[in-house]
Amino acid sequence: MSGAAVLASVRDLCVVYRRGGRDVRALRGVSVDLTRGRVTALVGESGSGKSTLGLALVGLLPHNARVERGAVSFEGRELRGEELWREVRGSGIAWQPQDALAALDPLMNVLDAVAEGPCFADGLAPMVAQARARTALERAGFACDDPALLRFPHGLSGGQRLRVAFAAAIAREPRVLIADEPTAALDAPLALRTTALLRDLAERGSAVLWITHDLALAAHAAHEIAVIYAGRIVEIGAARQVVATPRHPYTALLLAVARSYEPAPAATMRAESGCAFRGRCPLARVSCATSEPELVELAGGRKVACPFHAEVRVP
Amino acid sequence: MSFLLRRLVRIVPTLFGLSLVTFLVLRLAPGDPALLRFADPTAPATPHLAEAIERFREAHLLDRSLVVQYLHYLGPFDLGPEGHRWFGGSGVRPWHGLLALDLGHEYLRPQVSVASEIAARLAVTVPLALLSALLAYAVAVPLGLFQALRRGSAFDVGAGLLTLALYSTPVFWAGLVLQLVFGASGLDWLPTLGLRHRDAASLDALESALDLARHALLPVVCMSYAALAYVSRHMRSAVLECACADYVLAARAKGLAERVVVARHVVRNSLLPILTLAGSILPWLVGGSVAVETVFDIPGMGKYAIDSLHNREYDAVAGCVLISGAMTALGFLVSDVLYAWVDPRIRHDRT
Repeated sequence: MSGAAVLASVRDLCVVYRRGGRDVRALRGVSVDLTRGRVTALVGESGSGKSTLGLALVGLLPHNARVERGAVSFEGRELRGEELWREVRGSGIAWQPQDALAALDPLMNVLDAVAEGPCFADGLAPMVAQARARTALERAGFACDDPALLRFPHGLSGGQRLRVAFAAAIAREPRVLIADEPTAALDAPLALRTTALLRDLAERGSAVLWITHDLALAAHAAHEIAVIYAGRIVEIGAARQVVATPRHPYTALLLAVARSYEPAPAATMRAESGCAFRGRCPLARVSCATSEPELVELAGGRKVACPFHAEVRVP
Repeated sequence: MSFLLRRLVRIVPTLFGLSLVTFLVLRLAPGDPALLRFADPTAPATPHLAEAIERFREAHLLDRSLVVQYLHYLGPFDLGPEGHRWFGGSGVRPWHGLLALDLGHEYLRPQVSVASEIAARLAVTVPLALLSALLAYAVAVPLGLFQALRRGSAFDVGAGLLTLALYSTPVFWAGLVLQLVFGASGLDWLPTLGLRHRDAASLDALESALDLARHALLPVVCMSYAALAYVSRHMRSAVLECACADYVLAARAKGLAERVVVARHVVRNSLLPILTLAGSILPWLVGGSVAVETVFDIPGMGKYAIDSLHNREYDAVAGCVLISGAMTALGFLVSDVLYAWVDPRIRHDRT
């Protein structure tokens, strides 16, 4: 993993939401590198902050959110201020939203929706933008004379919508794609096809951050896995390694859930201090309550935020 | 096409119900067209007068039962003394009533058919209502849009209060205030009564148009301000709803400038429900013309309805109500068709 191949990186990012007069911490010091040619899966449960990280990576956090600390940088340049973001958004770092139907304008047909970025953000002539759109749609698996290209989102199947959203995101040929749960609403074959699109994009030299809650699918399709819990990355490493020998108790729990198809134990109240996971952790001991564990690098470049990682077993 | 036909057919029973209710309410209300026409409270009753009243009642079937009166009104047979032979008439005028496509005649001017009078009045009221709707939309759409885009600003709050005030201001009061301020008693900028100058016939085409515009300005403003407030409040909430839709966020993520996002996604999508409001606003404006036309003395449909009510012109009032009802039903139909036409979601569900 050479430094030059890192396209986008997040350094020590802390994001706080203002809700009902109180601050809620969504991200608490997250650092991730998105590397050229790699699909990084960001795995976590609802409310873990994974979508927030995705929005932070395109500079589109909602109005009630603020970045307390840390920053996002693209190709070595720290992105601060709307001016810089405007340059990078869509062309440098693109974002594919979670719900493909809600994310497509109901009044815009497929071709117009995909050509919109090249036409209005890159300033290409409409015909050129349409050609770009057709290329992107072809890479998303549409034939160039597919009748679906002139349909409106409501006339498309779920899988088609998703591929249109994907094509719209890659139409400006971004270096980095953030895909927020592209497989959440799909059945297994379609989910596999979608992950193939992400891998294909990475092979063409982009970096992909794939947000998902499906550790089993991530193990199958991603190069790297980052596990996020309560706004912190608790384990990050090569996909195979992480799945074969999880070193964080939360990863082990997720794996056990994925294998047994039993629901995970419910999240308890988030701890005020110490390790956020200790309420659900089988290895928790008194010392977990005093200090929050830092990410520590293990052999093989893997990082884990648990001092008792040697004791972790998949239940 | 069959959708349109079904909807059109469904209007018919509504109109029958409306005609029955209007008929009953008019007959139950106090007042008697015959007495109103002939009786002079200061003069002593004479046998001659009583006979005239009797003949008037007979001619218009006012002495018959309500059922017969309604069947006469509904048609298609004339049940009167000169009506269809089947019903004991002389057969001079066999057809009468709604089913014979006849809205009846006035009592005071028997030669005037209600239908032609309403048509003439609509030719005044409908252009006024259309102009008012245009004015309302032209102001309300940008107003609501900018309010929503600057949500919570002083402009938004101010415009919100203003539209609330406008929406709750009674039309007749606003009309009188406009007359006082701009009419001869105030600034003396604009004429306040009628649609035409006294010597309009002697003016050339341009002067005549100007004269009409000056006369129409205050009534149009008066007719439109409530609709303006209504539409702009709807527009504001539609924009706010669209602005937090996922496709707007996705459009921003494509790297589009905010201006482009608003024009291509927010405005287009929020105009959808606003456009279809037009179908219900137009009949609403025509109905509201009663107050405006009375205050500004304009010979339109609203004025006709009020005058006819004063004179107990049963057929004329019922005709006005029926035509307004038909326009309202058609307005809703038009707004549904508009919606289906502009919204691809509905277009697809039908095909």
